[in-house]
Amino acid sequence: MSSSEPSAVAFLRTAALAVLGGATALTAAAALIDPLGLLAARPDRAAGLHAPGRHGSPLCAPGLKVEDDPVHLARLAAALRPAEAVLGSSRAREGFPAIPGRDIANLAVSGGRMAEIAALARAAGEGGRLRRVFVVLDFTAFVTPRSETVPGAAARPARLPPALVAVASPQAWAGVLQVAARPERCAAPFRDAQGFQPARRPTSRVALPHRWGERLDGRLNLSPRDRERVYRLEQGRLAALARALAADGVEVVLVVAPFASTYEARVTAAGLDPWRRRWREDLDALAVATGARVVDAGPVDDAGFLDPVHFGPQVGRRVLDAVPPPAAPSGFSRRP
Amino acid sequence: MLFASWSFLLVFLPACLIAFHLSPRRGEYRRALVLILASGVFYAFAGLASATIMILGVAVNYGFGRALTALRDRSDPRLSGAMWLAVGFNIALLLAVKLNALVQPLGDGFRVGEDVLVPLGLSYLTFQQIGFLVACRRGEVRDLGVVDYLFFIAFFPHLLMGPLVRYVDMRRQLDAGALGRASSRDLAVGAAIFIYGLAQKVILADQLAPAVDHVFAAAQQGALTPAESAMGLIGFQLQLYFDFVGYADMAIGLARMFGVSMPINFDRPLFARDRFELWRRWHITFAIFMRTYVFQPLVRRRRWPVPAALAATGLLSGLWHGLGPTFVIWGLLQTAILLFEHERRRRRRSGPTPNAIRTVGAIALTFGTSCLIGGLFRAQTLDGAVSIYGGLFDLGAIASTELLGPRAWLLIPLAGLAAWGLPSSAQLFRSCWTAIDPRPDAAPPPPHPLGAFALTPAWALLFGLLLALCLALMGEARRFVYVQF
Repeated sequence: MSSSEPSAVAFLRTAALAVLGGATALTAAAALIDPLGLLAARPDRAAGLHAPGRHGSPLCAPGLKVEDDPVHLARLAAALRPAEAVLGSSRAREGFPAIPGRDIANLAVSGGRMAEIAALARAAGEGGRLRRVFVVLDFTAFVTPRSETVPGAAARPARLPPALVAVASPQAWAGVLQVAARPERCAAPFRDAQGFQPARRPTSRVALPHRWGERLDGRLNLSPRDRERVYRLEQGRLAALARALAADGVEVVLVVAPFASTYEARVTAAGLDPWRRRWREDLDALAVATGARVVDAGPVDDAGFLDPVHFGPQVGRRVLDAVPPPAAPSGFSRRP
Repeated sequence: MLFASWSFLLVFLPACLIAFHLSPRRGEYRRALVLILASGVFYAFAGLASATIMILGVAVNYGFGRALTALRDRSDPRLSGAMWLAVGFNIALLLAVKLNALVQPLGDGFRVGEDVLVPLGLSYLTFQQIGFLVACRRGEVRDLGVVDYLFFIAFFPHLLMGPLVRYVDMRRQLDAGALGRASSRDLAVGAAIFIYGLAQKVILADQLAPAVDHVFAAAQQGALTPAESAMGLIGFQLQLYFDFVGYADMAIGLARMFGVSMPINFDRPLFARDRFELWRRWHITFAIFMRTYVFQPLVRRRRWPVPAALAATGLLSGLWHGLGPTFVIWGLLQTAILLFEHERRRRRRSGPTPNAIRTVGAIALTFGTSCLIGGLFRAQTLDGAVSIYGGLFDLGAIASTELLGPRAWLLIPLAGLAAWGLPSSAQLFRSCWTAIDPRPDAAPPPPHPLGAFALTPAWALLFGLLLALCLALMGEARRFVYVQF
């Protein structure tokens, strides 16, 4: 170091110690809280079988205690290595409940579109245990622009050990602060260890909140050229995902999400029925080409909705019950 | 690579500092080379396309610079021709890139997502190159060396978002051995200034961003209430302030760690009492550039009337940010307000000094105006801008928290308190401040009631914990607003 000044050196030393102290405290807190749910996601190697982790935080219930984020979920997916996965937007997150004993993870993310779904499917497939994906499809995601408040397509997270990310990453430390601001998340995480969200109470059922319907109309009201561009992009990504999964021997179930009557009315009023027919035809053709299955989650009467957008978990449960778990692979699965 | 990222703070910067301080003190140019190499690595993270365009620009401009400085006779007619050819090359390159951005989806409006359509720092680099070429033409640059030039243009603290530095300022510091004299005091003070800027960016600007993004995204779809529109506009202005000022402080702090003094870019702009004063306090180096290279030549050499020169300057300012209609109208509105102010000053008789109430009123009016026209700056399309202004005046709508949760309603006023209550970096670090003030009528800011920084254990503890907090919040860090230009 160039010319040293004692007060400057002392300042740097104290500041460095303060940073280290703060970092250590946050790391320790993250280990105690496990805000990203990654510690609880580690499989139990000692048992020789893939089993939900018995590790986790000593302080809090296992699960994701921070808000939706494709990067968090991609890490969780890679750590869980589930046999089945539910993918989609918040509709899939809220509309598909956990089934005790079933090796299935819910990797749906708020605002998730095909780019996020594909990235999360890829993350879930790492390790080769994935047997089936439920891709919950929202028709309007194929004909409306992406909301700018949603993060862009999920980047592949850096290949770091999950345990390290769980306690010493900016996401983990930010998670500690989020839990500190909302301590109830400790006992009642946002999502459980398998990514499932606890059922919430319905809000307005199907009545459209103030101004919400007008904004929806704005989103639906794209020019034909822009709508065609969005449609081709999303449909192309779906087709590519279905083919890739089929090539890997993963069964694809395309779940067509239902609409509440008020939402349905808005979609029809926007003149989108021809587009929906086209979309269904394309889905059916894709199913034939890739061996995928198309399942209609509807019809669902309005009592089955939590709000105009999100259907209740009984709808997802019906879909899961209709598609029994895949047969377990022969022999033990060991972590490579 | 962002300044507000773990990779920069925990890997790049420590490696750079170690390499810098391990190189011998007396090897001024060796230290400069270390920093040039580090800057190359820094910029390489932006991608091959960005790096290629930058290398091309640097090579061409250096060649022109050598040609201009080689011509000793200042009256040689080839000098002006060469200079204008070089300036034309830079502007053409910038225009080509901006036009390409214009034809992307959503045009060349404000971009929220991670994609940046203009090679990083190109707009700033272009202006710096033009300033450099004019200085060469005027004979202010002699003995142009490649190391001096590369250090001036590529030094990473100012590479992405300014401040716009002058070649002569950087050269003077190199010649005076600034790099060799970098001390532990420079490192300590530089680190503290950097952390102060980082905190403004990560703790304030980035926490405002989700609410602001939400409002403006909804504006694209129509239907905002007056409260939502107002909070969106105010929130954006505060986000922009902390984002940009935070970056500027980080640039000053980073440079100081290596013994280099950067020019300031902000001087408490939220205390401006009118638009002229605002442009003396906001994005100072940019304003000086526009005044020196656009406004003054139009008025003094081309004899344009002041209003016409102001209009041209305002329009070009808007276009520098982007070629989309929102930026053009924003630039023109700025001009209209400046013209109004100019006329008002011309007609006003001098009177008593305004009292505190009138001063506060003037500050509020200036800020309010900035918020209003900032809606054009932030909106991605004209429709979005119309929607947000329409929301302001939709008096039939009730106040709603559909878009803005309780957190935003608390955060935006708190950010306002911080904006007017916290000291500027020049005030906080006044006892050890070495940044360059490029304004001709520069005066140090008044002392702040909260006191001033000193190299004491208490301040060290505070800044250390502040850095730890920033590291925690960096998981939600977003790219800087102005990096897209």
